[in-house]
Amino acid sequence: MEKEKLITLANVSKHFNVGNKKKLVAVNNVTMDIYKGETLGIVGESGCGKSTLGRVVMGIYNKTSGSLKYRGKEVNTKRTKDRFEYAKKAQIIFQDPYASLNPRMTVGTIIEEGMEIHNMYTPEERKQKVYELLETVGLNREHANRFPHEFSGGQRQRIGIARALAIEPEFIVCDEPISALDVSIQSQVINLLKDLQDKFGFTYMFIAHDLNIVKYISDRIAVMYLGNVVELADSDEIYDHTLHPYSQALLAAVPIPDPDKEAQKQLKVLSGDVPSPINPKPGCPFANRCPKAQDKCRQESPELREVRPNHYVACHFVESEM
Amino acid sequence: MSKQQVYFILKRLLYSAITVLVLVTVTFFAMKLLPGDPFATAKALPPETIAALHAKYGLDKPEIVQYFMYLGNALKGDLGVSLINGRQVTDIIAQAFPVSFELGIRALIFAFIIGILLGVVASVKRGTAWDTGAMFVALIGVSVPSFIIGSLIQYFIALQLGLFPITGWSSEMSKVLPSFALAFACMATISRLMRTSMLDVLNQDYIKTAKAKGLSQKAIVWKHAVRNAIMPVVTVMGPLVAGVLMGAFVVETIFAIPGLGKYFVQSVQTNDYTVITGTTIFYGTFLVLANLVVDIIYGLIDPRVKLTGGKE
Repeated sequence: MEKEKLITLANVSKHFNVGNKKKLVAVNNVTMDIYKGETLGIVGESGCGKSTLGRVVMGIYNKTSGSLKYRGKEVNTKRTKDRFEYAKKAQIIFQDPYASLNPRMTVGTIIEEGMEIHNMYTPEERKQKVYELLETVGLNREHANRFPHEFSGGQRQRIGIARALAIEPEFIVCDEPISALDVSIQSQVINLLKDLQDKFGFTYMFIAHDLNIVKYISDRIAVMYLGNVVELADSDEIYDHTLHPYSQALLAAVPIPDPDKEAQKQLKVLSGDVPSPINPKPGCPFANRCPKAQDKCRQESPELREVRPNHYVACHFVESEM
Repeated sequence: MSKQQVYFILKRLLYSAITVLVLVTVTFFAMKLLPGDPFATAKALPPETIAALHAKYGLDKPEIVQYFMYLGNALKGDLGVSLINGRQVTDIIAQAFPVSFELGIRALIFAFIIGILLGVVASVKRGTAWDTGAMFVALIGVSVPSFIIGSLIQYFIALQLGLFPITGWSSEMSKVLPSFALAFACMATISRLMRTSMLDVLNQDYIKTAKAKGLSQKAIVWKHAVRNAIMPVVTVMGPLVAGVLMGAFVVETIFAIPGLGKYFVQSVQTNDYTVITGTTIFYGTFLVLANLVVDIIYGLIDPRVKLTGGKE
């Protein structure tokens, strides 16, 4: 069955100028498709460019190069008109629910504003809609007149979700939506996101560094390292047949909630540090820490290629793993 | 307004009254410590005349008695009579203050609008020539005192270019330069503060949220950012009002404006006890009230500041 491509990224890069002609390569040559109705998990350690990728896909940052297509149509986020129209389709839920809500606005205004600028509904219908949204995410309609600081972290994240839903998007970037929450609240928010997906058929791009949660929620998973996608496959496939050396180390680091098994586990500890993303060297980004690195890895940057059905890996010597 | 808010305002009013009382007391006794005498003129008067004058104005009584007499009269709205020209101090204030007030208000409005604008432009166009230019102007404003700014614009704009009258306070045109001279420092402070505050706010996640909603840059800046960034500016408005009023002494003298500042300077030069005390109390009360108003406005703008006085 051919799945419908909702978002297509081709060679998307994002560079930041950091003075003195230095470039910080936050996202490097990312090529992938996001299918309608799926949840694509993005994992990687801090600073690997996951959030930047999410913001580029959302149009909050303008990509430096490459192509971003929505339903096969190029989206130029530099154009105000394109961004405005695209905002109706794609929304984002931020990591920090304390910082992402304007403290001077009531919750009702925050949720309503998106509908207002997109000219959705009449003012009375919008009020009604705000109440419905609040109830959808598990809050009360009385909460509409309160200010964000009056809520707990979990409640604020629900407000953030209601805010994103208000514009009735198809695609939602969840940028570490639960990492600022208590563990007890995390599952509630995750389940809310799953329920909403079942109900409205959303497509998620789910950015996280908690691998257990990513595995739980995602259909497919992309592993990022230093701005590059190094491995991309179905959720089960990537856990059962981890092929990229970095992904192997990353997944091996996940704690197992069983002390006996955890004690037996052989930990693959990587040596060295993540190289600086400023003016990166040519070749495979992982070459300096990879146990199997050879001369080719330091000269030639590996392309993401399909090595098993729907399993993409960026490694020159991946065949030796199979 | 809720009960708590009324309570908060009443409490602040009481504090303000205490502040003013302390001010009156300190000013009154400090005045008595001044060397010299209001009747010590160039031409020496006979001792009997001085004694008679002292008796007339009650200056022969013990100072504590004078103090309570003064306090009693002040409560009735009587600040005494000028020892130099015999006019009621309240009359002098009533006549001169509206001029000073108008000058101050014009300067504040000017400073506020231009200051905010410069700060917003500098922050939005951070690192560009706009930013550098605006902050250069602000730097001049912060570092150059108003009497130099005043003299320079008098010379270049009024005298050389002849665009405005050099001194006076009559036509609209004559009011432009003094207001500008008075506003400049205040404007500079506001724009620098606004820029810093805006840069902070523009990096906040809720600005990204606004962008994600699809808002235009203009709407993001004016609707989401400025409203959050303006709080520090509102906070300093109280002290800035004070600065503008103090600066007015000098500017009024340079531009020969018949405001309160002029009388204040004169009274200090002639040891006119009642006028010094009267105008000082008046200024003091005015500043205390200005700060009170700022506190209340603060609560109205920022919903997180509850006017309860619980946590201050």
